Amino acid sequence: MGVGAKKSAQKQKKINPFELKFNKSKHDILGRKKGAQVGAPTASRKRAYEQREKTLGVEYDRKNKISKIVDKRLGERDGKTEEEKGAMRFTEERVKNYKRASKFNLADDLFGEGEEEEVLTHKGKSLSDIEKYDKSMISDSDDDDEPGNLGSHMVKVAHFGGGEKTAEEHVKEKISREDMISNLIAKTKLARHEKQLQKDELELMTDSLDAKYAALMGKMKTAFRPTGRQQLEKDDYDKLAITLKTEADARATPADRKLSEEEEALKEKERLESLEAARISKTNASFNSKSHLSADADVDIDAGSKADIRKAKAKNARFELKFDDEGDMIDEDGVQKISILKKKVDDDSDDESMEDEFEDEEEDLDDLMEDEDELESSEDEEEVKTSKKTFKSVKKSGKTDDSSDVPFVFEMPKNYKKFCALLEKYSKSMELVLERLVKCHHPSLKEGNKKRLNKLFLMCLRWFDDMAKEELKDQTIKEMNLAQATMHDLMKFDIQYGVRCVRALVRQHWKGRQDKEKKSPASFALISAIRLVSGLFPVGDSWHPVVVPAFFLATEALCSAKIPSLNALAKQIQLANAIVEYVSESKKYVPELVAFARSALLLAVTEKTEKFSTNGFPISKPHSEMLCVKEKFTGPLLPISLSSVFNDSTVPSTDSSMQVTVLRALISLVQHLRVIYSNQNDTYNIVFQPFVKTLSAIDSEFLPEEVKEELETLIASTKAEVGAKRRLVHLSLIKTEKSMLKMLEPRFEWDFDPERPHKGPKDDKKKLTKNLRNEQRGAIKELRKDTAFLARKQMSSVKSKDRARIAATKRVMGGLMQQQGEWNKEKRTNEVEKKKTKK
Amino acid sequence: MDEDDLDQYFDSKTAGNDEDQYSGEDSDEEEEYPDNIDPNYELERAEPEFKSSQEFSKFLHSCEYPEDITKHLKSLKLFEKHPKTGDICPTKSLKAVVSGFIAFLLGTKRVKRPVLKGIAKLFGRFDIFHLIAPELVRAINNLKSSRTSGWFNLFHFLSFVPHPTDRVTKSLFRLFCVRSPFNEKSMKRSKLTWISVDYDSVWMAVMNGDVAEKLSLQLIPHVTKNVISKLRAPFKSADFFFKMFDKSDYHGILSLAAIFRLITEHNFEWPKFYDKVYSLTNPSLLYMSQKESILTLLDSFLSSTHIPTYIVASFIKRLSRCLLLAPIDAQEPILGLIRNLIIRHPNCSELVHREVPGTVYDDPFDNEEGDLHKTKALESSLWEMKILQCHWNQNVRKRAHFIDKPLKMVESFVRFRCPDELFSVNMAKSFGGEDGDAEKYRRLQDGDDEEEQGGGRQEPEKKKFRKGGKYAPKHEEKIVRAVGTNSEPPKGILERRVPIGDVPELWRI
Repeated sequence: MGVGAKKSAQKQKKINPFELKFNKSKHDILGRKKGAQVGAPTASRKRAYEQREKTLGVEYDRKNKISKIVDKRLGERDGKTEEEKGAMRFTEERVKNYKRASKFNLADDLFGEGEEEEVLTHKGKSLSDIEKYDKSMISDSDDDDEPGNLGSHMVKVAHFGGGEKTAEEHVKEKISREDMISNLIAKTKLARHEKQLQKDELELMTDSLDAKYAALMGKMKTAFRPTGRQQLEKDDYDKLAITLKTEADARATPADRKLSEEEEALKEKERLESLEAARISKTNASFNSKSHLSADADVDIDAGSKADIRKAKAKNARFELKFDDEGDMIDEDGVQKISILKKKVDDDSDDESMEDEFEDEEEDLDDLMEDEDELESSEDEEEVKTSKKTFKSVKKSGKTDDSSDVPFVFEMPKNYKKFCALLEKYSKSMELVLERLVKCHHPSLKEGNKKRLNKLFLMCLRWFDDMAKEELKDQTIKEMNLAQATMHDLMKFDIQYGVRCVRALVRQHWKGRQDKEKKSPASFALISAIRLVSGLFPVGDSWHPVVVPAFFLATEALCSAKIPSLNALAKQIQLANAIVEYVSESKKYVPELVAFARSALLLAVTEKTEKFSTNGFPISKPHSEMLCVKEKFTGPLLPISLSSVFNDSTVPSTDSSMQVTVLRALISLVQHLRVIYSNQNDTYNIVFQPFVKTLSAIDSEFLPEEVKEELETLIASTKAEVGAKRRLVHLSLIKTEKSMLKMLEPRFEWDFDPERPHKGPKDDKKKLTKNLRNEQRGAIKELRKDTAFLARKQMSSVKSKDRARIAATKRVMGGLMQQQGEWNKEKRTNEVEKKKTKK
Repeated sequence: MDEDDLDQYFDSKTAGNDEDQYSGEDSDEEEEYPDNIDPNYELERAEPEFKSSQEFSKFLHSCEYPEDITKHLKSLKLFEKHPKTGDICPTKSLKAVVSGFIAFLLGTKRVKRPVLKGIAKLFGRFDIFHLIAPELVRAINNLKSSRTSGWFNLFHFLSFVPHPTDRVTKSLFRLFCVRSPFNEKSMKRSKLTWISVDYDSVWMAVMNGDVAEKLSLQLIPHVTKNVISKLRAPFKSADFFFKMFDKSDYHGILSLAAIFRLITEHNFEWPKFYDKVYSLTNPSLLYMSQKESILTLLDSFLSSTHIPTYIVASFIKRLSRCLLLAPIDAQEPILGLIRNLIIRHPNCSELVHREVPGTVYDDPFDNEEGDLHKTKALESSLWEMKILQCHWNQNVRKRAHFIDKPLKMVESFVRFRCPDELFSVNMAKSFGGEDGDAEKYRRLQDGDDEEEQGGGRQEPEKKKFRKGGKYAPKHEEKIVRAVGTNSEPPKGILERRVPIGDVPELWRI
């Protein structure tokens, strides 16, 4: 190795300085890698060439010369003995010799012992056969034959042109050569044509045969066992299965398409309209004799001077007639005018209500209503005539309060007064009226219907509130429920507006409680408002724009009210029940409720077990024991009458029946609390231990059996629960595993160089990509050089061949020219000699 | 009689007069004898007619301007030479004036505060007050608590009489006569001393007196704030506060505030202070209308970092027990206070976090125990917070979650907000999608009036946002609170019931 290295070093040194190439750098840039300063391009090129010659060149040379040496010597591969091999070779040699000798043996017969006569063939047929065939062909069609297959006569005449000519032949001979040739051509053409015909015939024949065969096969098919894929007979099931398989993604088109919301609304409205038209016509018929139009119809016509009603009118000519009969002169023009006016007003109101929405949200329900009413007042002037008539007709129509007589199409009442009037008129079927009102004004039917529905919502809410403030009766509750249901229906059209309205109601109650009613117990209106909220909105949400303010209102009312009497206490318990409804599902904790229950229970205890009671509860003696039953109560236990509680009827506050029932309600409230908060494992005892104490202190001596039993079960269940939840585990922060910061060992570079780019985590990748790019470039360059090398090599081989050929041609030509020259020379000498001889 | 208007006039007039008088007499400490009058003449002249004390008090009631009083005083002979000793002493007419004034003050008729302010500018002057004080002390001792108006008059009058360390009033008698006992050198030398003695004696008399029930709530904070530190022996007032202590919880808290002040500022020693505060801390306190002041007081009592841990722990437990019954407006401040206490006293973090959580049966903390040593609060944990994490109000829920997080290093103040404010804050929250945007836009448009109502926590955020300070958020966080509605139609108003066991029918229409 050492020697070799030395040698190479010597060789390197020997490089001719003229072959060196120097790279001159114009600018010396710090930190940049400099390429090689000196290089020997020729030397390196030579080295590369040599290398290629050794590898690629060899490969090139061997290209297309794939071969192997096969030992074809006889018997060599069969592993035979020398003797056998020798024998085989000998026979082979003999056969070869024999063949070579017999080739030129013309007399076949001489050697013909045992051997077959060699038959000369042409295209696999013996020549003799062909000759025979030829003859027959010629004989069949004497003249026509294949081109070149001239008749013997023709050959005789044309080729050999000799022999004795007959007389006719002489005549014929006189026919010019051209004629003969044209004859010949015509003949050949004819022959070709014939042949074509024959061919066509053959094809026809084949086709017919094929057809016949197919027909035959068709008949035979049943007889044979069928082969290959056979066509299956498909029954219904298969067909169905296949369609299911192939059309799996095709949409099923139902026979009766589900209508979209708009379409449904439209359909509903149309139905109602047609029903309405029918109804009106019927009423008209019945009233015809009296020449008195139904008041309802009147109202509807007056109010509903709309296109859709007109359409119904047009449908029903009789109706129009009656209408004229009635004498209320509303001709087409008038109707048109009014409707135009209304439209204009509608637009105005739309604008204003739009502004409304952007107005201060801090408004009460009353403000909202006032706004609406103000809007209406402007309209009122324009429809004084109609409204007057409406009221008149309302009075007239007391008798037609039959649900079958309720119109199907309603005009939205313009203001609250009219709304009330409408409901009053159909007081037996308010539900129907409201439902139809909503259906007739579906937002998709007409622009502005949404506004009208909003108005309806507001009116319903006001109706609800008014009813709640009225004397408590079955009817009012029914109407409130109806209003609530309607509001729920309307809510889906415009949630935002509904929320705003209910918030306004809550705010109104709140403001009322802030000043004048601060210390008074909850009114029925307040409780029902709170219940309405829980009816319309999900009370379990963590934050809700209506529920949370309602919660504030309820708790405030619960805490701050003074409780001077049993009546007030009953109201507060009712309020507490409403709050319990709020939290019954979400199990949220309401301290105010617990405090209320605890302090209310204290009223039933003579010897106060604790000091605590909320502000509203009386401390002084007569009232502070208002729930202590001190005389035996004997009488039926009736539920507390809400109407008597809320209608300010003067119930004696010490009435023992009242005492017992209120206490009962209180016990049930505590029971509710117990159940709701029973999931609080840690704090259950803390909250309910005092309850147990107070409950046990209640003197149950004079209580009726049922109440006593209830009290005892409550105490027992609470005690049991308290006992079960005694176990407590200290609080401890659950340590969440903090993700550690990645701590890295400091990396010291001993050969730190600020000039050099630093290594970072991304540098590896960068380096690799750079390497890859460089390698790619290098590979491409190499490949290019390889192809160049190959091309060069090819070229050189081509050139060498050319050279050889040219040299050969030159040699030959030289030889020929020499020959020619010699010949010329001889010729010349001959001529000279001839001349000499002549001379 | 149109009293209000006149009073108003009276008041302003008085103020004007005072200004004039002060400006005229500011510099004259030395005697100024008018040349033409013999100083002794005043003392020797015969006593003119004077109003009896009853008459004078009536006269005071009917007076409209301070000039009327000064005119009347001018007409009187105020001082005379004592026939035996020769000292200058008040005449009968002056004595009548004094007793008349006292009758006026402690009478049955309630005098308006502004009027008393005007009167105090005359009768509160050091020289005449020196004469009034002993009489007043005597009268106060006899004053019964049922005389509410008298007590209020007295209180208002006294609250306008300044202590000499604040301001030394001008002499009143100098306006009317040249020679008065107060001109004597002996009196002048120790002027400040005897003025403050007067002040002391009167206030002590008030405190020892049988204070009217209604007044006491106003009196205690006033005494605490203004009087105690001026008294020569502040600890003497402690008797008064102890007396007040038992009246009600609120009285107790207020008087404790005073005692706290005594302790912190005047080296008063009372080891049972925290026991007292502890005994007063109960949930019914939080249902009072004065809960804001109570909460601030509690905060200040517990603000020291040197309170023993067992006390703090007991308070924390007691307060959290209170929270289980507290109304919504008290929840957040107390939660804040509890958290601050735990931050202030790291030893109390045992209540929130134990390295090795143990198991106990029943809460070791004894809520009934009055002795702070024996409450076993430190063996307990703040389980109460667990139930508050289910409170119906979102903010309370959030706050109660502090036990689940590592403790903050810095205390934070929680402002008390009355329920009305909380309500309007909740009403001001935007809701819904598009509407919320419109709301925001509208607020930006018409600005401030809304914000006052919105108040609370949102306010500073908004301001910050508008100012766009260094840490202001680049984009306002868009909160879209979806508004849910019930999908199923509601049941009837009275039909809705909580499903629970077999509850008998309790209500009917």
